[in-house]
Amino acid sequence: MGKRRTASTAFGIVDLGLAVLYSFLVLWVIPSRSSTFTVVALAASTVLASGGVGMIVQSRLGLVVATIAASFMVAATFALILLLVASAAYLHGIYDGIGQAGAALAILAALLAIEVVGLVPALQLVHLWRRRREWR
Amino acid sequence: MRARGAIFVVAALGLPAALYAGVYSWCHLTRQPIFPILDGPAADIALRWLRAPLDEIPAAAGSPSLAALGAASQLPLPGPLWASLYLRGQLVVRHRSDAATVGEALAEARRALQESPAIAHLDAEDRQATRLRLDLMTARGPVVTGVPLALANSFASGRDGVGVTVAGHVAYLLPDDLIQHDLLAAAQPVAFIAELRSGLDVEAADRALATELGCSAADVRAAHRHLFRFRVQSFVDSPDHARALPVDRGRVPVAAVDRASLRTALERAADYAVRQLRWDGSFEYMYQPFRHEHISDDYSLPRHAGTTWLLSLAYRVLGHARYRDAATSAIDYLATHAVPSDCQATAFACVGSNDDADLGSAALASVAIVEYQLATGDQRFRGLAERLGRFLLHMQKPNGDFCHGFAPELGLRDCAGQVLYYSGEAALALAKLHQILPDPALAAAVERALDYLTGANYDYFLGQFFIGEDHWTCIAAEAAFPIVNKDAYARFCYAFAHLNRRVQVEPDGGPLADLAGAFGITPFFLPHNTPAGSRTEANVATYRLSVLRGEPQPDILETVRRSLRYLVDQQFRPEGMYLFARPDEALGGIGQTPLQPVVRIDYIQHTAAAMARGLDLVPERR
Repeated sequence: MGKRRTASTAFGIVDLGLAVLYSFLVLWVIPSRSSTFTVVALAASTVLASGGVGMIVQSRLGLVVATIAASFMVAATFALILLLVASAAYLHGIYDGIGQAGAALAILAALLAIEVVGLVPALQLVHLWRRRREWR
Repeated sequence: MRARGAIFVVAALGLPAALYAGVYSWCHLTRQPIFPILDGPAADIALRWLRAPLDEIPAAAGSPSLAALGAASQLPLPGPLWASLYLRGQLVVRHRSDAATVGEALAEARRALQESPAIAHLDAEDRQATRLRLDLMTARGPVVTGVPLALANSFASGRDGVGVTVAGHVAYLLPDDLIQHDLLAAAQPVAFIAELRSGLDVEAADRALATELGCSAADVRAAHRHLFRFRVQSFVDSPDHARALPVDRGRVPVAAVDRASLRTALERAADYAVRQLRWDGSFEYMYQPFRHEHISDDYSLPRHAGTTWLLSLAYRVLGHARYRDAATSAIDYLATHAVPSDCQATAFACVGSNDDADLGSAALASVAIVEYQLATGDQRFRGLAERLGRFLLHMQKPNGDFCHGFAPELGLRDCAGQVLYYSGEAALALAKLHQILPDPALAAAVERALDYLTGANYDYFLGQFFIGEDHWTCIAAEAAFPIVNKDAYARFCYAFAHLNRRVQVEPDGGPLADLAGAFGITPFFLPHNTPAGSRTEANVATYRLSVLRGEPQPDILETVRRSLRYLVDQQFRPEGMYLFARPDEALGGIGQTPLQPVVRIDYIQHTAAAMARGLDLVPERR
């Protein structure tokens, strides 16, 4: 039991770190011209951070919030991948072919999205699934 | 559980695949008719028939008739037909016809030209100078308008036009309009990389569409959901008005080159450089052909010296005295204006100012002088070359690399900053200087420089995965062959040439096939012409090196030939240039990219030097 609690705390710290990282990236490193993108990205960071707090607190409510946050992030990853696919298809349609470089870039972006956005929440969900009996 | 897993896998793969197919088929133009409407002979007839009243050719004098179009006259039009008349880059009149067939639309356009008051005011000379362009819409497609970045990149550069419907009225900006008004390659996708630009300047396009419609840009913005893209088949009449020439991305394409056409291209480019020479021996630095505007902005001495080198090369190849005379003036400028006072009484000469001199300027000045002396036999600048050579030796570090900066006032080298190209230019300069000054110190310095540039320069983990812009290194390796011939140099340059080949646009290169021979990445960023020139210079040198070593590389030769076709295709030739204010001034120039015609002297330097050095590698006949 102690190991799982420690793992939850670790997940919480990672969540908070990622939330700070995403905010930093969106606001300073790759600021978007679209305010919508910035708002959505900051909202996702907030959700992630609240999940992180839940994982650290480890109260019943905290774990519920963490589960919702992790599920949201996994769903966001799927949405991001679908957006990337749609963008690649759109550019293919406009430019009559985006070539190998374009296809490789699209695949790389999708893989990066899984790794950067989706991997930690997915592992967190598995972890929370294993702890579900504790807070039922 | 297994069934649920299968459903998940199918959904995970199927949903993106279906999404891809759906989006692609929605926006791809082949969903609608995209085909050439007129063939060459039909376009000849159409344009000559349209022009006949303009040239006041009586019907009996062999003026073509619409009947000569035959069945082509009855072809249905999927969209409008435009007839645009240009005089020295200015649009005199444009008529858009929305008629249903080619014949009806042409008849309507001819009537409009006949009745145009603007044409009536043109005198005979101006009429002769006009160029008539015919555009026929072949396809039209939707664009995403809600996301600014997506909207900006929704138009294939130079191929697509922009249209909008506002309150039932439709306005169009033809692909050439977007090029002429500099609306392409204008959007900045990444906020912190100002140099990276791709896509339509949407705000400027809104303003242009608003002008067309007689409404405000805000009205067009409000109607953004009715924006669309369209593609056209375009022709322009030849300068003698005898033929219709196909137009692609604002230029008349060149299918193939032979030695004669390449020689003509070289002559035009060298003549362009001669025309840029000012009274004091410096060059007009940049030229904007749409506006006939010379731009003097941060004059670069290395580029001055490089262009001077080109003039000597052109004199060597073509033998015209005007190139020799221009080279003499340009070297005189270097000797009298560019060697600072603090470098005049010293054993070595530098190039720059008393505050700041640099390696690249001295290196390319040396190259220019050596080429001049070899081409003309005139030794008047030999002393300066010798002193520049001493400067280069002084700037070399023990590891073979060079310090790139020098403060003449203090007599100190600045080895901190590194400027792209300078070390390679210095290596070439040392090798060239050895051709007129057989000094063992120069030979040893060349060897050390090339050892460094092809070896230690890449001696770190990531260095094994890429090669930078090392064209000067390979030009130097060939020039140094009589002094030092090492496998390592050849292997390095072969690898550079093979890398170039990998990024070279293929003749069947899909959307960029018309730019075959250029070096580029993805259709979103059009290739730049200067790297096409500089890499071709390097590839020519590498191929020659391979021949000298007895191991000719046919792949490199093929890369060179493709690039040379591309360079001729990109050059401002008489048959194109209908958008330019002064075609006679722009003739022979080469723009920055296929869509950005501003010419800087180094664009000419690199592209024409590639032509001069590669001339004998092109077959005499196509």
